[in-house]
Amino acid sequence: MARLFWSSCLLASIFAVGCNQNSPIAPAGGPSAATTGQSAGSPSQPAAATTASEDNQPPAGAQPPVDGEQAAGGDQLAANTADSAVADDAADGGMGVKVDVDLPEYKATEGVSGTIKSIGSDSMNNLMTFWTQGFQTFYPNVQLEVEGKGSATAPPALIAGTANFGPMSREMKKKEADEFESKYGYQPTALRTSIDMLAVYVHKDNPIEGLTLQQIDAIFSKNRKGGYSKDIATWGQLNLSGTWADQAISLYGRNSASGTNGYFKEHALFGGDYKDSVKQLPGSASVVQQIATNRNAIGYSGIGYMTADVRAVPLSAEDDGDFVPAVPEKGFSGEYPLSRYLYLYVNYEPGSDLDPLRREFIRYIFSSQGQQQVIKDGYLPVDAQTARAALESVGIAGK
Amino acid sequence: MPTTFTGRTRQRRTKWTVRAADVAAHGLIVAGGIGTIVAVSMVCVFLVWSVLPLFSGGSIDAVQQVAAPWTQAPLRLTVNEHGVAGWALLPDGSLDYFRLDRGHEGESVWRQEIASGAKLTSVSAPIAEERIAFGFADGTIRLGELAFRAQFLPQQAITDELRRLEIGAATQVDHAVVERAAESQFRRHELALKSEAPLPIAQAAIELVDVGWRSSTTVVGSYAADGQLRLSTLKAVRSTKPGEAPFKVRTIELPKPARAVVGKPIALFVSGVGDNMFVVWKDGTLVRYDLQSISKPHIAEEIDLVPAAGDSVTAINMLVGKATLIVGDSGGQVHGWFRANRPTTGAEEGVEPEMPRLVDAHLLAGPQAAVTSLAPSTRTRTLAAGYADGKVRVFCVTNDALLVETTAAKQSEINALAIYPRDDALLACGGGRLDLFHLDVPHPEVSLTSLFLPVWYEGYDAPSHEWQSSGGTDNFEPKLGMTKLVFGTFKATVYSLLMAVPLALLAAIYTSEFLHKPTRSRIKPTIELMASLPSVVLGFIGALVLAPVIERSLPAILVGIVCVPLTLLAAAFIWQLLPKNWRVRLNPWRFIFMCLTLPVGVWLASVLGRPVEKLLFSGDIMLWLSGRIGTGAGGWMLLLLPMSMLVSAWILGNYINPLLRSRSAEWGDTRTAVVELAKFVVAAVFSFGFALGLSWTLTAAGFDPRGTFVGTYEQLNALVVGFVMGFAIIPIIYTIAEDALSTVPEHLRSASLGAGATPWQTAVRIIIPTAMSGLFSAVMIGLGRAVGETMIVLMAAGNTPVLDLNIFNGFRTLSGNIAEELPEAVKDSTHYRTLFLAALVLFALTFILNTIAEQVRQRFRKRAFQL
Repeated sequence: MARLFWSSCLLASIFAVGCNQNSPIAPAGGPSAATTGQSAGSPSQPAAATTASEDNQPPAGAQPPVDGEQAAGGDQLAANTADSAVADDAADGGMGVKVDVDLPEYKATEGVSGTIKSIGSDSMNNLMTFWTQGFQTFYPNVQLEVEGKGSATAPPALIAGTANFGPMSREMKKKEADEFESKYGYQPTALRTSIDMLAVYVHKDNPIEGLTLQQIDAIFSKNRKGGYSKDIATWGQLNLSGTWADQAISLYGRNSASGTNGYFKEHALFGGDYKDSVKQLPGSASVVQQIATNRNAIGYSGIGYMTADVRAVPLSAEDDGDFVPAVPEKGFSGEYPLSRYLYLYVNYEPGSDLDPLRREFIRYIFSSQGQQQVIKDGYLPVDAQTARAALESVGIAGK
Repeated sequence: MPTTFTGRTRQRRTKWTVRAADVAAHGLIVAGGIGTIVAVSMVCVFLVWSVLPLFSGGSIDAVQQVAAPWTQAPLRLTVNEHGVAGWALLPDGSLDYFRLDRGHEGESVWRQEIASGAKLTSVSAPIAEERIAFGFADGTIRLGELAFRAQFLPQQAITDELRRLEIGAATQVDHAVVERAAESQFRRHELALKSEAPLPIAQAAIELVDVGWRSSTTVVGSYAADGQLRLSTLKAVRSTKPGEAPFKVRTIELPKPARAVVGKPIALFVSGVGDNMFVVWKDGTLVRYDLQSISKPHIAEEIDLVPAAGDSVTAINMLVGKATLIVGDSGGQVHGWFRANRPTTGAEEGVEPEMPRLVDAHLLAGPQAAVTSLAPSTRTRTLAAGYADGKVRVFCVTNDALLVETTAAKQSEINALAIYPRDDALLACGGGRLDLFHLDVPHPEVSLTSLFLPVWYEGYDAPSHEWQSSGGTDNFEPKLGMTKLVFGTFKATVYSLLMAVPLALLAAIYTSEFLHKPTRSRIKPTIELMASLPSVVLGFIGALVLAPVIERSLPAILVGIVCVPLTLLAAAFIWQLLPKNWRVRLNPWRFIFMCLTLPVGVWLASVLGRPVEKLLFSGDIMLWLSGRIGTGAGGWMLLLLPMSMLVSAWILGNYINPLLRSRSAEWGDTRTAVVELAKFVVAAVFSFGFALGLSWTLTAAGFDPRGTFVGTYEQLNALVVGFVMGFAIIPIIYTIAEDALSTVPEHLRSASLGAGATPWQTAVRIIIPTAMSGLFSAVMIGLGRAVGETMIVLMAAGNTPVLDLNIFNGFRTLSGNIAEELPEAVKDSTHYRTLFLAALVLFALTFILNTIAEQVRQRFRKRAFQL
């Protein structure tokens, strides 16, 4: 109940001010999702949609356009937002992200109706909304309910059958998969839908050049399993000078149900535990929003939630390595140390046929349109090979 | 028929409708009453029922014993996910894939060499992941994958022979085991061995090898027959052209330990994240290499794992996650070692913290026989230990608890053990036989001690109370210490009562004793209306509106707590200076004038905030609170001010007033008012002076308030919760207290006033003592509300599980925790049941508090009745 409230009221009403893009939909509400979100999927008015989202869509807005209509949106974005310079930096350095040309184009079929119920990751909340909205342009009478309280809520929902899709920003734990199998007799199927670069954000005025994972560990963790020799509590300890030196670092993170929380713990904290002083916020958007209002803040969230008010710090995996910025080509090449897959879990009985709704939705996700939505949300699309493998794993013959 | 004086005949008999209604009402009331009691008890019973399995312990039953398919003791033994097959790596370098399904236990399916042509000499430690490394006699290593693969057979592949299988039974098809999982589902279990090209790293046979992974680098530690320890790093190269090696390999020789070691090492481990390497010798010597800087590895420490002379290390392994080393010795004890950062000795800059070192955190006692085999679970902190006398014990390493114990059938040395991946069975190999046990330890990590006493969790510096219930990976160690949550609940309660009780009680006394009846009848419903605000709304306002405001104007608010009441008192004394006829004429508007002082006080506080911050808190209260600037004097001053005001009030009442009373008899009205004002001013100045003096003394004595009741400021904190929760509980306390005060018999009040007591004297000496039981229950009901309040703390407290009295820090309460975590807890899991336990603890807390409160209330009531 608690997060139900949080995600609906707090995020939607407060943090969505000026960041339309970031407003997750009310958990209970298919209809509200349709109204609060953008009419992103409809090709007729992309310019209006992109403008409405203001400056919260750095990579997509700054990328080389994929089609003409998007170009209009992108140009208007650049003209409208004066202070998106920081955000633009991240994407300008890159080659831009394009959908793999081998991905099939989605074509509508018949007999698709019902309700898409998705419960799970908050990092993928926007993505699920984009997909479902894009899907609705093909099948207007499909209802949707998207609820994003954290990846850990996906397995219980799939087991109980209250959701037909479970987006997760981490892999399902074996223990969770066991619970599933003990009820259904087979393992849940994981689909790799897109790639995220988990970014460490600071306030946009923060001059820090980069951080090593060991330093991040010393900032966030009480165990310092990464091996940094001492605890880091002030910006001065990260060699910032002047007024920054004495300021205490204010820590923001995600709640324990979040897969982002779990991934960060495993990969950035080397499996250590968070400090008690890390404020656990219920949504990715609220982490970014809090950092935007607090100069001394540091926090982590998916790259899809980046805004112009925060800066993604370049990271380095080795304590002697070079800092790698969170830009798409570094994510593709695997150089960025915190890139990860975003998964969609489905209850698929091996050897059976999926019902039309789920089959078509999955086909849509792994089509060029579906992957275009991934780029639009700021994440990275998967290549055709991964897409084919995903389709085959749920018994949909690839083309 | 008797007639009454009215002339009408009186119906003497009760009408049947009335009787029926009476019976019906009686039945309904009895049923309702009993029903309520039953319902409440059922809630309690349900809670207990949900929680009990946590403490029910476990069981282990022997299922089957069969002859082992191998004569040698296996180096590694692993069972697959579904428990129908397993593999054993034998000392001769062959891999055996065998069946474990019912009726075919221990039947070998196939056996093959790991690599043809090369003699296997070592293998890496088994871990939950499928990746493995092998070392060979020719000085090469091979990385590979050794994994069970399970897949459902497509319908067309199901033969008639398979269709004849019973559900749950299995058969062998080619090199795989096919199991009928359900009516139409056939699962094929295979063992897939994938081995990459050999990488030469030494000139001699690799006798020990282990591997760890660090983001994109594979770290391989090895010991070769030439007596040299080596570290090889394999950096993956992503964009490989065909034919090019997928790795960049670099091998360096590690320095030899300074300590004289006897013979060859018996074990070598690389930690799970590849940052440490442990090398262990038979006599218990352990050398830890720090691989943090992979190009410059160095020896971090050399310790003795088995201090007792004569004892030696007989079995060694690592727990899931490869951070905890478990060491079994010849004395039958198992120790758990992990690396901990020792607490820094000095907080000042430049002081080098003590280096991290291995700590002996766990001790798992065994029988008087050497530990011969250790098998960690791949998903939990469960550990199976086999002993030389054939005993098998299963422990939970987190809380050092012995879960179950059994003895293998032949009572011979257990030389290999494997826990099934789901922790539901155990395979023991010893004396040429395989023993299968069914294992049932549903909630290993929970015991009463681990819930409420400090536990030494992996990687922590010392045993501590922790609440971190879930993580994103299987090797996460759940930390279910409830102490911090109980503490948070109390912290929320205490701070909110501190805000609410004085305000609510004083308001109740004021309205019932001093306020005009008509005003009172309007004010009371208004305050009661406050209670109708949903706590969600209050929490929302607290977190998003109040918290930033408080953060921005903290000095003004702190000053206001002192300043506003003082302004009110000053105004009251100034009121007395007015000419008498004015005062009498203006008396009906006194309340309005009084209200006017409130904005004046607030204004004064906002003006004084900044100077006071400069004076007491070195100009920046946030920095001051974090302890980086200034001394503790300012904080003491603010903390001690209320106390010193009470002291001066007490001095006034007990010494000054009696002194003045005898003399003021002949003073005029104005003169008395002037003296009273002077008295107030002097008392106020004295309070400030007293507090200042005391705070200087305390600071000089080395006490600093920072770190106790005040400390580093967090935006969502107990002060915010106190304010907001005060809003929620003030109406309750106020209403009940006001009712209690108004029901004091009027004759007591009249008598007191008639005897010449002032309304204040009447209130303090007559009314309050009489109404004490009511006032007390008012406070207790407020307390009950504060303990169970969920939404406000969930939103405004930050939910950080800290053990910190600091009013400017947050907390996590039992109720908030349940609300936050229940959606992610899988039904009947340990986490789920622990949350129910939290509910039960909350239930018990309120039950105990209410019982005590009722007892105390009864005593007050008895006293009041005697009046």
